[in-house]
Amino acid sequence: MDLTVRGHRFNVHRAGVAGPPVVMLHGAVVGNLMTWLCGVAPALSGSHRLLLLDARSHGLSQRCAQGHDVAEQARDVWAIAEAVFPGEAVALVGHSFGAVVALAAGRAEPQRTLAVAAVEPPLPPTDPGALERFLRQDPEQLRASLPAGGLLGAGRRVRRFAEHVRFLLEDTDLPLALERGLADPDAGALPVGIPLLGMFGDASPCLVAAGSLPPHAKIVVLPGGHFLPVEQAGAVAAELVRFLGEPRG
Amino acid sequence: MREETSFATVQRIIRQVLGDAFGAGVEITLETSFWRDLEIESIELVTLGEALQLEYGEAVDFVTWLSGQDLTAMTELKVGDLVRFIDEAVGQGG
Repeated sequence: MDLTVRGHRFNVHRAGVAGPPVVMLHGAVVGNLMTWLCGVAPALSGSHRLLLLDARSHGLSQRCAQGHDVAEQARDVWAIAEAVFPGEAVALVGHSFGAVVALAAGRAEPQRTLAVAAVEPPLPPTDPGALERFLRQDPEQLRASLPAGGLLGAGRRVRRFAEHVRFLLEDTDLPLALERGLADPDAGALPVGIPLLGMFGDASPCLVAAGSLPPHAKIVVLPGGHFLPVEQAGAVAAELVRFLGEPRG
Repeated sequence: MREETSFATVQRIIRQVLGDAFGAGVEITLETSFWRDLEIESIELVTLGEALQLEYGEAVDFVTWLSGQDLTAMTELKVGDLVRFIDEAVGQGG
Protein backbone atom coordinates (compact mmCIF):
# COMPACT_ATOMS: atom_id res chain seq x y z
CA MET A 1 0.00 0.00 0.00
CA ASP A 2 1.04 3.59 -0.51
CA LEU A 3 2.01 5.77 2.41
CA THR A 4 2.99 9.41 2.06
CA VAL A 5 5.33 10.90 4.65
CA ARG A 6 7.81 13.76 4.43
CA GLY A 7 6.22 14.70 1.12
CA HIS A 8 7.22 11.41 -0.44
CA ARG A 9 5.15 8.38 -1.43
CA PHE A 10 6.45 5.05 -0.15
CA ASN A 11 5.33 1.52 -0.98
CA VAL A 12 4.96 -0.47 2.24
CA HIS A 13 3.57 -3.84 3.17
CA ARG A 14 2.36 -5.01 6.57
CA ALA A 15 2.26 -8.58 7.86
CA GLY A 16 1.41 -10.09 11.23
CA VAL A 17 -1.30 -8.96 13.61
CA ALA A 18 0.30 -9.27 17.05
CA GLY A 19 3.62 -8.82 18.77
CA PRO A 20 6.29 -6.14 18.82
CA PRO A 21 6.67 -4.04 15.66
CA VAL A 22 9.58 -4.70 13.31
CA VAL A 23 10.63 -2.50 10.38
CA MET A 24 12.51 -4.31 7.63
CA LEU A 25 14.86 -2.46 5.27
CA HIS A 26 16.37 -3.70 2.04
CA GLY A 27 19.68 -2.97 0.34
CA ALA A 28 20.41 -0.29 -2.25
CA VAL A 29 19.90 -0.46 -6.00
CA VAL A 30 19.03 -4.15 -6.46
CA GLY A 31 16.85 -4.50 -3.35
CA ASN A 32 13.20 -3.92 -2.58
CA LEU A 33 10.75 -5.25 -0.03
CA MET A 34 10.76 -8.62 -1.77
CA THR A 35 14.15 -9.15 -0.11
CA TRP A 36 12.23 -10.00 3.06
CA LEU A 37 8.76 -10.94 1.90
CA CYS A 38 9.44 -14.44 0.65
CA GLY A 39 11.13 -16.74 3.11
CA VAL A 40 11.90 -14.46 6.04
CA ALA A 41 8.67 -12.53 6.70
CA PRO A 42 6.43 -15.63 7.04
CA ALA A 43 8.63 -16.94 9.85
CA LEU A 44 8.45 -13.66 11.75
CA SER A 45 4.86 -12.63 11.11
CA GLY A 46 3.42 -15.11 13.59
CA SER A 47 5.08 -13.35 16.50
CA HIS A 48 5.69 -9.80 15.25
CA ARG A 49 3.92 -7.02 13.39
CA LEU A 50 6.07 -6.47 10.33
CA LEU A 51 6.46 -3.40 8.18
CA LEU A 52 8.33 -3.98 4.95
CA LEU A 53 9.11 -0.87 2.94
CA ASP A 54 10.56 0.13 -0.39
CA ALA A 55 13.15 2.84 0.24
CA ARG A 56 12.85 6.05 -1.73
CA SER A 57 13.41 5.47 -5.46
CA HIS A 58 13.33 1.70 -4.94
CA GLY A 59 10.69 -0.90 -5.66
CA LEU A 60 7.35 0.83 -6.12
CA SER A 61 8.17 3.89 -4.00
CA GLN A 62 8.31 7.32 -5.57
CA ARG A 63 11.47 8.18 -7.42
CA CYS A 64 13.47 11.24 -6.51
CA ALA A 65 16.87 12.66 -7.31
CA GLN A 66 17.90 13.62 -3.79
CA GLY A 67 17.73 12.36 -0.23
CA HIS A 68 19.35 8.93 -0.49
CA ASP A 69 22.00 9.56 2.14
CA VAL A 70 22.00 7.48 5.31
CA ALA A 71 20.70 10.21 7.63
CA GLU A 72 17.85 11.15 5.30
CA GLN A 73 16.82 7.53 4.84
CA ALA A 74 16.92 7.04 8.61
CA ARG A 75 14.48 9.95 8.90
CA ASP A 76 12.28 8.27 6.29
CA VAL A 77 12.29 5.11 8.41
CA TRP A 78 11.16 6.91 11.54
CA ALA A 79 8.49 8.89 9.72
CA ILE A 80 7.07 5.69 8.21
CA ALA A 81 7.33 3.84 11.54
CA GLU A 82 5.51 6.65 13.30
CA ALA A 83 2.74 6.64 10.69
CA VAL A 84 2.21 2.89 11.02
CA PHE A 85 3.10 2.28 14.68
CA PRO A 86 2.42 5.65 16.34
CA GLY A 87 4.23 6.14 19.61
CA GLU A 88 5.69 2.63 19.64
CA ALA A 89 9.32 1.55 19.81
CA VAL A 90 10.30 -0.78 16.97
CA ALA A 91 12.97 -3.31 16.11
CA LEU A 92 14.93 -2.54 12.94
CA VAL A 93 16.14 -5.21 10.54
CA GLY A 94 18.25 -4.23 7.55
CA HIS A 95 20.14 -5.91 4.75
CA SER A 96 23.27 -4.42 3.17
CA PHE A 97 22.88 -0.62 2.84
CA GLY A 98 19.55 -1.06 4.62
CA ALA A 99 21.51 -2.41 7.59
CA VAL A 100 23.64 0.72 7.60
CA VAL A 101 20.44 2.79 7.57
CA ALA A 102 19.02 0.66 10.40
CA LEU A 103 22.10 1.32 12.53
CA ALA A 104 21.87 5.06 11.81
CA ALA A 105 18.17 5.05 12.67
CA GLY A 106 18.95 3.29 15.94
CA ARG A 107 21.56 5.90 16.83
CA ALA A 108 19.19 8.73 15.90
CA GLU A 109 16.28 7.48 18.02
CA PRO A 110 17.70 5.10 20.64
CA GLN A 111 14.69 5.45 22.93
CA ARG A 112 12.43 4.18 20.15
CA THR A 113 14.69 1.31 19.08
CA LEU A 114 13.97 -2.10 20.58
CA ALA A 115 16.80 -3.87 18.77
CA VAL A 116 18.77 -3.79 15.51
CA ALA A 117 19.58 -6.73 13.27
CA ALA A 118 22.18 -5.83 10.65
CA VAL A 119 22.45 -8.44 7.92
CA GLU A 120 25.55 -8.04 5.78
CA PRO A 121 26.27 -4.37 6.53
CA PRO A 122 29.08 -3.28 4.17
CA LEU A 123 30.87 -1.30 6.86
CA PRO A 124 34.53 -0.39 6.76
CA PRO A 125 36.90 -2.14 6.13
CA THR A 126 34.74 -3.74 3.45
CA ASP A 127 36.28 -2.83 0.11
CA PRO A 128 34.06 0.00 -1.23
CA GLY A 129 35.43 -0.73 -4.68
CA ALA A 130 33.76 -4.15 -4.60
CA LEU A 131 30.33 -2.51 -4.38
CA GLU A 132 31.23 0.03 -7.04
CA ARG A 133 32.40 -2.71 -9.38
CA PHE A 134 29.32 -4.79 -8.65
CA LEU A 135 26.88 -1.98 -9.34
CA ARG A 136 28.68 -0.58 -12.37
CA GLN A 137 28.56 -3.85 -14.26
CA ASP A 138 26.61 -4.03 -17.47
CA PRO A 139 22.96 -4.48 -16.36
CA GLU A 140 22.91 -7.92 -17.97
CA GLN A 141 25.96 -9.02 -15.98
CA LEU A 142 24.51 -7.44 -12.84
CA ARG A 143 21.29 -9.35 -13.32
CA ALA A 144 23.17 -12.60 -13.85
CA SER A 145 25.13 -12.10 -10.64
CA LEU A 146 22.01 -11.79 -8.49
CA PRO A 147 20.47 -14.79 -6.78
CA ALA A 148 17.65 -15.96 -9.03
CA GLY A 149 18.56 -13.16 -11.44
CA GLY A 150 18.06 -15.57 -14.31
CA LEU A 151 14.37 -15.72 -13.48
CA LEU A 152 13.97 -12.12 -14.59
CA GLY A 153 13.71 -13.41 -18.16
CA ALA A 154 14.45 -11.22 -21.14
CA GLY A 155 11.60 -8.77 -21.65
CA ARG A 156 9.76 -6.11 -19.66
CA ARG A 157 11.27 -7.07 -16.29
CA VAL A 158 14.84 -6.85 -17.58
CA ARG A 159 14.19 -3.54 -19.33
CA ARG A 160 12.69 -2.10 -16.15
CA PHE A 161 15.55 -3.45 -14.05
CA ALA A 162 18.18 -1.93 -16.35
CA GLU A 163 16.36 1.40 -16.43
CA HIS A 164 15.98 1.36 -12.63
CA VAL A 165 19.72 0.77 -12.13
CA ARG A 166 20.61 3.44 -14.68
CA PHE A 167 18.30 5.96 -13.00
CA LEU A 168 19.70 5.34 -9.52
CA LEU A 169 23.34 5.44 -10.57
CA GLU A 170 23.13 8.36 -13.03
CA ASP A 171 20.22 10.57 -12.01
CA THR A 172 20.28 10.48 -8.20
CA ASP A 173 22.58 11.22 -5.30
CA LEU A 174 22.59 7.55 -4.28
CA PRO A 175 26.15 6.81 -5.53
CA LEU A 176 27.48 9.67 -3.41
CA ALA A 177 25.35 8.52 -0.48
CA LEU A 178 26.77 5.01 -0.78
CA GLU A 179 30.32 6.28 -1.06
CA ARG A 180 30.01 8.50 2.01
CA GLY A 181 27.81 6.20 4.05
CA LEU A 182 29.98 3.15 3.60
CA ALA A 183 33.21 5.02 4.33
CA ASP A 184 31.98 6.39 7.64
CA PRO A 185 34.12 4.76 10.35
CA ASP A 186 31.30 5.23 12.87
CA ALA A 187 28.60 3.68 10.70
CA GLY A 188 28.58 0.50 12.80
CA ALA A 189 28.17 2.24 16.15
CA LEU A 190 25.09 1.65 18.31
CA PRO A 191 24.43 2.52 21.97
CA VAL A 192 25.19 -0.42 24.24
CA GLY A 193 21.63 -0.49 25.54
CA ILE A 194 20.25 -1.50 22.14
CA PRO A 195 20.59 -5.23 21.44
CA LEU A 196 22.42 -5.77 18.17
CA LEU A 197 22.70 -8.78 15.90
CA GLY A 198 25.24 -8.83 13.08
CA MET A 199 24.70 -11.53 10.49
CA PHE A 200 27.22 -12.32 7.76
CA GLY A 201 27.82 -14.80 4.98
CA ASP A 202 31.02 -16.77 5.25
CA ALA A 203 31.75 -16.15 1.56
CA SER A 204 30.82 -12.48 1.55
CA PRO A 205 33.27 -9.57 1.18
CA CYS A 206 31.35 -7.92 4.03
CA LEU A 207 32.44 -10.52 6.57
CA VAL A 208 35.41 -8.32 7.45
CA ALA A 209 32.90 -5.76 8.74
CA ALA A 210 31.93 -7.99 11.66
CA GLY A 211 34.78 -6.48 13.65
CA SER A 212 33.40 -2.99 13.07
CA LEU A 213 30.27 -3.65 15.06
CA PRO A 214 30.40 -2.69 18.73
CA PRO A 215 31.49 -5.26 21.33
CA HIS A 216 27.97 -5.90 22.55
CA ALA A 217 26.89 -7.16 19.12
CA LYS A 218 26.06 -10.82 18.74
CA ILE A 219 27.73 -12.06 15.55
CA VAL A 220 26.31 -14.92 13.50
CA VAL A 221 28.08 -16.28 10.41
CA LEU A 222 26.05 -18.39 7.98
CA PRO A 223 27.12 -20.26 4.87
CA GLY A 224 26.54 -17.96 1.90
CA GLY A 225 27.34 -14.68 0.23
CA HIS A 226 26.05 -11.13 0.42
CA PHE A 227 22.43 -11.91 -0.45
CA LEU A 228 21.80 -14.00 2.63
CA PRO A 229 18.08 -13.10 3.03
CA VAL A 230 17.48 -14.72 -0.36
CA GLU A 231 20.24 -17.34 -0.40
CA GLN A 232 19.63 -18.55 3.15
CA ALA A 233 16.13 -17.30 3.92
CA GLY A 234 15.31 -20.13 6.32
CA ALA A 235 18.49 -19.76 8.36
CA VAL A 236 18.26 -15.97 8.42
CA ALA A 237 14.63 -16.19 9.54
CA ALA A 238 15.52 -18.64 12.30
CA GLU A 239 18.25 -16.33 13.62
CA LEU A 240 15.91 -13.33 13.51
CA VAL A 241 13.13 -15.21 15.29
CA ARG A 242 15.61 -16.20 18.00
CA PHE A 243 17.13 -12.72 18.36
CA LEU A 244 13.91 -10.74 18.22
CA GLY A 245 12.21 -13.17 20.55
CA GLU A 246 14.80 -12.81 23.30
CA PRO A 247 13.38 -11.24 26.46
CA ARG A 248 14.32 -7.58 26.71
CA GLY A 249 14.96 -6.03 30.06
CA MET B 1 -23.75 -11.25 -4.27
CA ARG B 2 -21.01 -9.87 -6.47
CA GLU B 3 -22.05 -9.06 -10.01
CA GLU B 4 -18.52 -9.39 -11.36
CA THR B 5 -16.95 -12.85 -11.57
CA SER B 6 -13.62 -13.37 -9.87
CA PHE B 7 -12.01 -13.83 -13.30
CA ALA B 8 -13.34 -10.46 -14.45
CA THR B 9 -12.15 -8.86 -11.23
CA VAL B 10 -8.67 -10.33 -11.66
CA GLN B 11 -8.54 -9.10 -15.26
CA ARG B 12 -9.54 -5.60 -14.16
CA ILE B 13 -7.03 -5.47 -11.30
CA ILE B 14 -4.19 -6.81 -13.43
CA ARG B 15 -4.77 -3.96 -15.88
CA GLN B 16 -4.97 -1.51 -12.99
CA VAL B 17 -1.69 -2.74 -11.45
CA LEU B 18 0.29 -2.96 -14.68
CA GLY B 19 -1.10 0.37 -15.88
CA ASP B 20 0.53 1.93 -18.91
CA ALA B 21 2.91 -0.99 -19.23
CA PHE B 22 0.05 -3.19 -20.30
CA GLY B 23 -1.52 -3.02 -23.75
CA ALA B 24 -5.28 -2.50 -23.77
CA GLY B 25 -5.69 -5.05 -26.54
CA VAL B 26 -3.84 -7.86 -24.78
CA GLU B 27 -6.10 -10.75 -23.88
CA ILE B 28 -5.94 -12.20 -20.39
CA THR B 29 -7.15 -15.79 -20.15
CA LEU B 30 -7.15 -18.36 -17.38
CA GLU B 31 -4.04 -19.85 -18.99
CA THR B 32 -2.14 -16.55 -19.05
CA SER B 33 1.11 -16.79 -17.13
CA PHE B 34 1.88 -13.86 -14.86
CA TRP B 35 5.59 -14.32 -15.34
CA ARG B 36 5.96 -15.34 -18.97
CA ASP B 37 3.01 -13.65 -20.66
CA LEU B 38 2.38 -10.56 -18.52
CA GLU B 39 6.04 -10.10 -17.56
CA ILE B 40 4.89 -9.03 -14.14
CA GLU B 41 7.51 -8.16 -11.52
CA SER B 42 7.41 -10.01 -8.20
CA ILE B 43 6.75 -6.78 -6.32
CA GLU B 44 3.80 -6.06 -8.61
CA LEU B 45 2.31 -9.37 -7.47
CA VAL B 46 2.31 -7.90 -3.95
CA THR B 47 0.44 -4.84 -5.19
CA LEU B 48 -1.98 -7.13 -7.01
CA GLY B 49 -2.54 -9.10 -3.81
CA GLU B 50 -3.18 -5.95 -1.79
CA ALA B 51 -5.68 -4.73 -4.39
CA LEU B 52 -7.48 -8.08 -4.25
CA GLN B 53 -7.67 -7.88 -0.47
CA LEU B 54 -9.20 -4.43 -0.72
CA GLU B 55 -11.72 -5.84 -3.17
CA TYR B 56 -12.64 -9.03 -1.31
CA GLY B 57 -11.62 -8.42 2.28
CA GLU B 58 -9.25 -10.19 4.65
CA ALA B 59 -10.27 -13.67 3.49
CA VAL B 60 -8.38 -13.24 0.21
CA ASP B 61 -4.84 -13.00 1.52
CA PHE B 62 -2.87 -13.66 -1.63
CA VAL B 63 0.25 -11.88 -0.33
CA THR B 64 0.60 -14.25 2.60
CA TRP B 65 0.21 -17.16 0.20
CA LEU B 66 2.79 -15.53 -2.06
CA SER B 67 5.24 -15.00 0.77
CA GLY B 68 5.28 -18.73 1.39
CA GLN B 69 6.36 -19.48 -2.17
CA ASP B 70 9.80 -19.56 -3.72
CA LEU B 71 10.57 -17.62 -6.87
CA THR B 72 10.22 -20.69 -9.06
CA ALA B 73 6.64 -21.17 -7.88
CA MET B 74 5.93 -17.53 -8.73
CA THR B 75 7.14 -18.05 -12.27
CA GLU B 76 4.62 -20.84 -12.75
CA LEU B 77 1.60 -18.89 -11.53
CA LYS B 78 -1.27 -18.53 -14.00
CA VAL B 79 -4.31 -16.27 -13.88
CA GLY B 80 -6.48 -19.37 -13.45
CA ASP B 81 -4.52 -20.30 -10.30
CA LEU B 82 -5.31 -16.92 -8.80
CA VAL B 83 -8.98 -17.15 -9.75
CA ARG B 84 -9.19 -20.57 -8.06
CA PHE B 85 -7.41 -19.17 -5.00
CA ILE B 86 -9.99 -16.37 -4.74
CA ASP B 87 -12.96 -18.66 -5.29
CA GLU B 88 -11.77 -21.04 -2.61
CA ALA B 89 -11.02 -18.20 -0.21
CA VAL B 90 -14.46 -16.65 -0.55
CA GLY B 91 -16.23 -20.01 -0.55
CA GLN B 92 -17.36 -20.04 -4.15
CA GLY B 93 -15.21 -23.00 -5.16
CA GLY B 94 -16.54 -26.16 -6.73
